[in-house]
Amino acid sequence: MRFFKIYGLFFRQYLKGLMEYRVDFLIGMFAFLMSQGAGLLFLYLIFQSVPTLSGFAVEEILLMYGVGLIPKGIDHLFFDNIWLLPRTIIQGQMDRYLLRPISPLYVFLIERFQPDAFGELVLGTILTSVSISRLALNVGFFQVLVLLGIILVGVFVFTSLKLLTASTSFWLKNSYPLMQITYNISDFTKYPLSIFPKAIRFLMTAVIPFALVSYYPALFLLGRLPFWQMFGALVLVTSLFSFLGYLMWNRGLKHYESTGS
Amino acid sequence: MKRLKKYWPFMRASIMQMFIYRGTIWLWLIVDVFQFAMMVFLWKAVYQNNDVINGFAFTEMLLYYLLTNLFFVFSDVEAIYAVAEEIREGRISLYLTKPISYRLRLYFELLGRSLGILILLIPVVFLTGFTLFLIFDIVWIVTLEQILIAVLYVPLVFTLVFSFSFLFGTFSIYTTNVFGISIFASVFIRAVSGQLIPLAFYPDSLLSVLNLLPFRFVSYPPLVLLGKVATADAWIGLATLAAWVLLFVGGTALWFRASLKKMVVFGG
Repeated sequence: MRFFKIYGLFFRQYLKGLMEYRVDFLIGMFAFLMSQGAGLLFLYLIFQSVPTLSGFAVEEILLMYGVGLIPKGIDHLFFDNIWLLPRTIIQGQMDRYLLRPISPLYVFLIERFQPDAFGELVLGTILTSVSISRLALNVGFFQVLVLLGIILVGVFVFTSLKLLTASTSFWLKNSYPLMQITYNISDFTKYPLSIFPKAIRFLMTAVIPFALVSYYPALFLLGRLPFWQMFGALVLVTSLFSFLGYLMWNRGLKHYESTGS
Repeated sequence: MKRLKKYWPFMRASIMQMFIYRGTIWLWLIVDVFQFAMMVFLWKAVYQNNDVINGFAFTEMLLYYLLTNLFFVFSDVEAIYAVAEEIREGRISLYLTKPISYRLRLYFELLGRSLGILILLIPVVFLTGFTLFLIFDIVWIVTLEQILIAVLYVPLVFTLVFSFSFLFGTFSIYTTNVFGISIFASVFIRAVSGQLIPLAFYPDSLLSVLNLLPFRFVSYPPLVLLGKVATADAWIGLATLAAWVLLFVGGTALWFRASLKKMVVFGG
């Protein structure tokens, strides 16, 4: 309860800031919309020349793209501050969070709300609903419920991986490249996993498991993968990574030695 | 030439600066190589049932992206960050009082940055290319004239993108979301220059619009080296690009003078 109250306080402050920088908000949202738009343009242009990609029609690929974009956007919206962790550690600003009478991770996470993410959220929602209707998929109450479940759990795929890789900066200081390489791989999960060799398929399912929020959910909606197999794997892998991320963060905090100034 | 000489130290310094961070840069380059590998699989799937798509064979497509990655160091929008940062931190006022041109100093600094990265990038591209040639049995014939043209394009492309980014960098007078602006600018350039996908893939209606812009020349060096643009056309393109560059440089000079009047720097 206390957590929600504090979030409310932070959020109100944040909104005041947003009102002051309205143009910034529009620019950010438009920029991320455009950056995803470039990915769509690429797909569109390729499908002008070929009818299917590894047996998938364009609508089926857009479904993967759209479904994956929603949890990515939500993570971007609420947990964007993790990107600043390396800098916070290098500058010794972590002290601030340690001195507060509440979980340092919680305070760190809620410090930033990133409305740029609305670009991704809007696009993801449009892509998902349009491709579902164009494919005339049989989507009932159960499927909608599962989709919401995928999105909810899927957010933690992104957040936990970000936390896991960012927390290495407690030791490495600059873990940006590591974070970026992980995040960039999520760009490739909008394509069917089947175009990649086995090693990469394994990598994107179990090691950097972005396929769990795009490719497999799409297969489920297309009726080519049973629910339990898809959702079980998602929950299992996400729990594991959330645990690892939290563990890494805690270990890192113990190792944190500030800057001495 | 003599007037430009005083800017060389800036260029040299930023080349050297890149070498300080060579570890990090190489790490980034490895990220690029990995992404390139993913790209190879993607295109392999696209070429599953076709030998040639829009005039590109599979191996030509791989070479196109490899060369685009190499030439990309000269079409980076880094100037946005540099200008925006100097404006926001107020450091710009220090440079403005010195007897050197603000834009030329920045130009040479960023040119040095690009050259520094290029030096680090060449072995990576060479190794990637070598691997591609071994795996896919690529035969690639390139003439000296093609190489000469490609090299001549480089300074013009760099100046074009520099002016464009410089313009966007000055927008930080009006907004604080520099990250948003730079994403916008780099996505725009990637899409309209052919770095995203060769422009031959675009429908005619879109191409006719892109032909009105100078950014298509950004991908001319790889296209010329692959023989996708005839050398005669490439020479004409070079002259056209030069005219565009003059226009851009003049335009940013005027714009910058106007922006300086709007700028407010606190303290000092």
